[in-house]
Amino acid sequence: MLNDTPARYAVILLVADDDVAESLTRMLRDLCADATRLTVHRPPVQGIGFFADSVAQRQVDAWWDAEIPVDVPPLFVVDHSGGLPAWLGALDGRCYVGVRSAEAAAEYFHLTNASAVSRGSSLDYAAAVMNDLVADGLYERTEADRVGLMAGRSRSDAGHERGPSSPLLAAEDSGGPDPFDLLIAMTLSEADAMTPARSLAEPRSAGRAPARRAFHLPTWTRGAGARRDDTHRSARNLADEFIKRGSTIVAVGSRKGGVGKTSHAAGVAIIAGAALDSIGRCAALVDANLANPDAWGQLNLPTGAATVRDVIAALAGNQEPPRPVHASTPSLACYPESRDASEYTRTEIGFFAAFLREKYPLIIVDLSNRLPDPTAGPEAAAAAYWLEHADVLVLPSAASKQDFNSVLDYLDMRDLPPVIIASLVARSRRNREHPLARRYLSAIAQRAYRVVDMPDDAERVRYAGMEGVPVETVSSALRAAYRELAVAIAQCPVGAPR
Amino acid sequence: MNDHAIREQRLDQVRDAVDEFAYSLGLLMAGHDPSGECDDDAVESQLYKALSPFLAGGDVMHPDFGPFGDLRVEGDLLQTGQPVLTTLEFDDRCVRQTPRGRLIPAQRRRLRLVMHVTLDPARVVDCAVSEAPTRSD
Repeated sequence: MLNDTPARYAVILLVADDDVAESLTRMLRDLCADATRLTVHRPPVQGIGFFADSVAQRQVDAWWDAEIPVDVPPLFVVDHSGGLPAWLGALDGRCYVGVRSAEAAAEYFHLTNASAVSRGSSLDYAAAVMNDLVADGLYERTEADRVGLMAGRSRSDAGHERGPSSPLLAAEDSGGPDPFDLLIAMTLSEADAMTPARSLAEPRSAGRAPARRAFHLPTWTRGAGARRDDTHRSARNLADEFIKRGSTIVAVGSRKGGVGKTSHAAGVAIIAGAALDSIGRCAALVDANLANPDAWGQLNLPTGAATVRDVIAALAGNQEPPRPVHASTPSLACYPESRDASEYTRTEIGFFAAFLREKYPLIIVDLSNRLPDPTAGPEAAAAAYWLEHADVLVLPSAASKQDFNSVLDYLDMRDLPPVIIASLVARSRRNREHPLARRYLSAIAQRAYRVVDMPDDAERVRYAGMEGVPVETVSSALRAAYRELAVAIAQCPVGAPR
Repeated sequence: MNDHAIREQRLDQVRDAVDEFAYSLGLLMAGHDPSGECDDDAVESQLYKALSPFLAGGDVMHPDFGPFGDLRVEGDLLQTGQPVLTTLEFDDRCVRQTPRGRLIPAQRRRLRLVMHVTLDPARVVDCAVSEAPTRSD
């Protein structure tokens, strides 16, 4: 039915449950083969009230005018309620209605633009929407089938208690057992070996009145990488600041190597990505370090990941760019550089920057260890081209004369965006308080938008890289510093004179 | 310090211990070494052993236990000699990433971690995992 409709869609989530809406948003966005052709919206009024509440119509109309493009057909996702079928018949868009009984489903049989979705969980809705959009190339058939399988299994599980065979079921459709199924199986099968676990399999009721209180799981559990003591609200605030300032390209550069440029770029991108995840968006990390693509080895990206060269070649050939890989958190898209990357033209970088701006609110670009200069070789030229598109420049610096001079060389360049100095704080007090270091830092601070102190965890970062541990998990101090750096970036002046 | 204050203080300590434990579990599922985060090596080894078939498969799990969980503590918080029984329930919203980069959301379900937590110092000494009825049920 959707085959003849335009190839762009706006999914409008009218379901009452925020958790279902959030989960559905994430699935539809993450699994979409072309995110530029599908947008997901959550209006201020949900349920039948979106159509029928006359008091709220002015608010709904204003929201619609601001959010939904004129020529994009809407797809409504809504829970069944009494009277809803009468409203849907006159709609232009297609509707997916969650129903919990055959009687309710029968109310929609006569509507050509509505589908009754059994049960109405996020998986059920996602499977129905994805299945209809496969023909438009918005989802891969295998992905739609996989979500449909999971939805069916979830429905089955809702009616039947799961047994020890669950790991096998999980193994069949996702390439390996589910970790929690393994832990459940451990509890069931090893109870004899671990005496306390036998009594732990189910909570016991005790004569003593239990203490019960709300327990706020730390935000980091929403995606490995965010700072542990972040609250969901603070992550949301940071995400809102990024959204308010519009898509932002952050260049992380240094004339000198070994100051933690790649680590800082990855750390702040992971923190910002986790924050953006709270509103269903995503950050991107781009390797523009042509001279040393191996530096990204610490991110442990899978081999065969789509590279910057691959994406630029696809854009130049007017083809669909390959999808990025994700590291540390699903909310961080990574674009590594190929080992045999040659030079890029200004136009190629421009195309790529425009492509990234359309997809991501925040793009962190890890530049090469060169002073940007279009005439000084491929690495310096690429850095110069990226700098032309950068909204913020981050310059890491250690407490040495060479590092300070490297930063000052950068600051001498013309037409720089606002500059944030990520200043490694020396471990020894003597070095920290050395008069020469203080003079240098003072001179640098006067020319930068802001200086953010970073703990000197270089050695631990290096070992973390060797062990495959994300940089943001090295220490709580480093996580806090990355977060402060992300906040400084979000608060940088927008459109400052260059 | 009166009994009420001691009880409240130990309740906070138990909550922190469960927090640390859940963090370690997330790290383990993500394939990281939680050394330094988990106080009890025996529990960590037990979990690691159980998870090894998944970890060896090449997939990566992005742990996501949802924004909120329910914590229930049963036992006498004034007696440090006996561990208390704690039950943590949360939503499984983890996302699996295959070696080719494909992201697969976990099936939506509510999970229950039942733990013995000692009080002095507060730490998890045993853990069992099961599925819990969803909140809508």
